Amino acid sequence: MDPQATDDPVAVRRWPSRLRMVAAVGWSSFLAASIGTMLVFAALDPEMIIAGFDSGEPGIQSFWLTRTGIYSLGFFLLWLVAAVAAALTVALMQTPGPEKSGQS
Amino acid sequence: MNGESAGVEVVDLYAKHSKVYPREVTGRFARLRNLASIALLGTYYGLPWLQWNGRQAVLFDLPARKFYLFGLTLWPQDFLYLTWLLILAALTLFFVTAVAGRVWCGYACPQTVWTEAFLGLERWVEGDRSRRLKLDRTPWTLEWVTRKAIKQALWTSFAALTGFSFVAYFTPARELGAAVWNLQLGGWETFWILFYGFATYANAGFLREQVCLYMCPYARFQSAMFDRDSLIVSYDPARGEPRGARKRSVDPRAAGLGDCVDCTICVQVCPTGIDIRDGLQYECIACAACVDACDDVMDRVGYAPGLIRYATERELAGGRARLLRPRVLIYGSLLALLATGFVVSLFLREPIGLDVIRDRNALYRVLPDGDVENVYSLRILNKDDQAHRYVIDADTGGLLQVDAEPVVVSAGEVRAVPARVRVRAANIADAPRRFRISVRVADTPGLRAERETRFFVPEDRR
Repeated sequence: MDPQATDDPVAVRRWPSRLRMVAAVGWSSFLAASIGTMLVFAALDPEMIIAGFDSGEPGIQSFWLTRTGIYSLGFFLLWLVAAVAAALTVALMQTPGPEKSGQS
Repeated sequence: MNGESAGVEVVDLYAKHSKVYPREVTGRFARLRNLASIALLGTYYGLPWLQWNGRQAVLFDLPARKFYLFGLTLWPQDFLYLTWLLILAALTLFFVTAVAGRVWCGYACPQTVWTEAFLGLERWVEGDRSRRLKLDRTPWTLEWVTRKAIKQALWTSFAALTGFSFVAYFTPARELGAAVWNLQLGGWETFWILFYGFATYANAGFLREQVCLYMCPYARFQSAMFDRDSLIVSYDPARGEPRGARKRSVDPRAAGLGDCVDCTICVQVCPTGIDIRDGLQYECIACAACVDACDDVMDRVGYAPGLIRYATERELAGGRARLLRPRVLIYGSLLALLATGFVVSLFLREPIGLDVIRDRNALYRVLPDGDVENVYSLRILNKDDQAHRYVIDADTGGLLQVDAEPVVVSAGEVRAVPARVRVRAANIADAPRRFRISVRVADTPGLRAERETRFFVPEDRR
């Protein structure tokens, strides 16, 4: 929102490293979750899960326990799992090794 | 700006700053890019409305677990084809990258295409770059508020339309349209339209090229697909250096200068903010905005175009471009092989899915009259678009008798059918150890599937 910045033609928005990390973790896990969702639900029919849960009780379940609902939940679950893995990778890569911290 | 020293007007196509104030793009690559954008966006928004044999031509009907691709219906059991298609797409990307560099990024990547569309809307509402700059210098005036509000309304509607079209690939577009019209949209449809719409708004309206810089994996892999003969957007240092400003009347050779007038317009137009004169960089999305801009400058100062152009590294080093080289041949032949295999196997695809499972409890059963019986469970999947009546049979010339009722399976259904196969007491010694159990469609000759399975009799009777 700062028109002054445009006076410098080469000024480019460079993201701070923390934001870059969030973007990389979020996006890479999104891609992984997309592929994962396809693989999982090609082999698994959500009807099987629905049949396991079905108590015959109407209500909120009819929203979650549909094929679309299970697909959606599955996608977000996979996204979460993949994001945890990606975030852990980032965290582990940042931990200084023993030779750097001066302790073994 | 520096451009004035060269006697040319500064032409900012796309300058990238803490806020983007892009200017109208002109030039042949810009035209090509606009054309590609229009074609791709048209396809994306139009395809869900295309009908084929009374149904949506392209529909990934997730609730019903079947995919329609024009005349083709794919089931989850055909997942192989989807994987195959993805592998084909990846190989095509490798092939194209090896030959022509990152044309994908510059012309076809959704990130580029939607960013261009959002920029176009911004330009339409707020005017060109200088008018936008002027507008933002005095915020909260009536004009500022009006124009910003109109732009945001357009962006939001465009994003919502994008979300709607996305969901229309998974829920029939006409039903979805009617549901929106009558305000009877289901919970998940609403959620996904908003989710995808929001993602579009964030990626194309807000994140833009930052996605290419920080989030795109392809940008980091590109060096693996490149070689010295790949086409890249490149600056010709042999011709341009030493760069420097000069008066129009000065002969650059006499002054010891190259053709680059150092107007930095190529840097200013770059959406990712790099200097192409530093050589190939991972940030370069090969949009060729700098090519158009530099050609324009060269034209104005009376030099030949092509100081920045699509060229291979070998060409820049003075060599000849080679199109046919091992990398291209390998990618190309793999691609041709897989594509042919894909098409052939699609045509040869069995419209019947058949699994034969032996009864797990007993190998055989000796009946009171001395006949021996084996029990199988058949799973018949009808992959066709209409219901069929299936007749179950065995290919043993009457030696084995199949005791199974013909069964009707509706389109896309799986039915488990028990089949008892028996051999007469007198024929036990001749009973085959293996035979083929077959399923054929009663009303369509030639439509059949068969599986080999084993047949057991008491060993002492053989």
